[in-house]
Amino acid sequence: MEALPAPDEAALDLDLIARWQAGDELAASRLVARHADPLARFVARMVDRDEVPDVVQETFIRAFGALSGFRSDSTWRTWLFTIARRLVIDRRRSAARRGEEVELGDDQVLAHDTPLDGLLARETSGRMRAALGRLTRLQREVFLLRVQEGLGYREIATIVGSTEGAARVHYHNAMRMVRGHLDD
Amino acid sequence: MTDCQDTAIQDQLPEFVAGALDSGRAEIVRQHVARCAACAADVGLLRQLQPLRVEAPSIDSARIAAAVRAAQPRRGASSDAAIPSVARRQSSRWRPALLRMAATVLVCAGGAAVWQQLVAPSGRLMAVADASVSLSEDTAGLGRSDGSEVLLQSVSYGDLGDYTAEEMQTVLARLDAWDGAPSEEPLGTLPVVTTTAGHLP
Repeated sequence: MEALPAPDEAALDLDLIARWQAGDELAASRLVARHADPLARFVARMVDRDEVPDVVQETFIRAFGALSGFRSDSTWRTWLFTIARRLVIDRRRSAARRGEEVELGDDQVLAHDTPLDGLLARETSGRMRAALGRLTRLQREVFLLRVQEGLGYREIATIVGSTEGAARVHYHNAMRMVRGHLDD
Repeated sequence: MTDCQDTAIQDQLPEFVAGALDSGRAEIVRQHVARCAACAADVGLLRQLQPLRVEAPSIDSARIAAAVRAAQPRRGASSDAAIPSVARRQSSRWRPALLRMAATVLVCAGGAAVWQQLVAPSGRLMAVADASVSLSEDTAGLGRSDGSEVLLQSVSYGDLGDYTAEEMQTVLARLDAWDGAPSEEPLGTLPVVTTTAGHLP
């Protein structure tokens, strides 16, 4: 699990963004390098493994292209995760329109078998996998963003398009359900 | 097992397990967990989940950064949210010069209009002169009927439709003879021709 981004880390991102906008080409490299791996892990929960690099690259391109809409009241990482989530949703909807997949709602990003399921099947007990599998998709998304990526409720709310209070409720409900399932 | 009612502590458990709390806050949580069975169970669960990080393929950050730079060729001109961009500073620096150029064009256009007003009463003007040179009516064979000098400010051969065929041949012959050498003052050899406005006497 990652620690929450320290304030100076977020400030460093803002400084790099300002330098990039002022013409510093290397600032883009640092902004990508600092967040590519966490972003890839986040994306890997939603898409097949071989799609991850493309989604990550497209996310960064969109994020840099939309910097005029970036507000420093959220972090660069939150900005990236939010764009990535929407990008995955758009891809799934496009695939559904082409008849490749059943269309899914925004709260169903983790609707069906994902790499996480495979990972859990390989690396953890069946009980833990079953416990996580009993969560709603949104609960599981919030829960894992909190537990494994170390995001705060406000960041999670921004990413999933909810409120901070709702994200906190989803997390605690998920924790209670998983614990209850493991206790059975 | 009853749920813990201390939501402030519960909210800090993920950071506590990750070792992301400062020492003071970590000690407070540690003491709470020691006496709270619900939070102790949560800590145990979080520690079970800790190694379950999703494996993602390796990402080529350099390639992505290059793609980002290639996709944003005009970022300075378009993304001006955080700080003044180089492009915007350059734009503001050029603005006064552009205004001066526009003003110059307007003055020249106005001058040409005044000049046309001046020469219109005397008929056709076909002369070339530098702005600093004045030509008298006798010198140029043109100009105002009262003999006053006219300041020539532009080059004009008039309307070619005003030339007869013979006059046109004369003009062309003089143009052929005029080498237009820039090292000499051209006024003395200018192919100035008076016309009859298409009507030979």
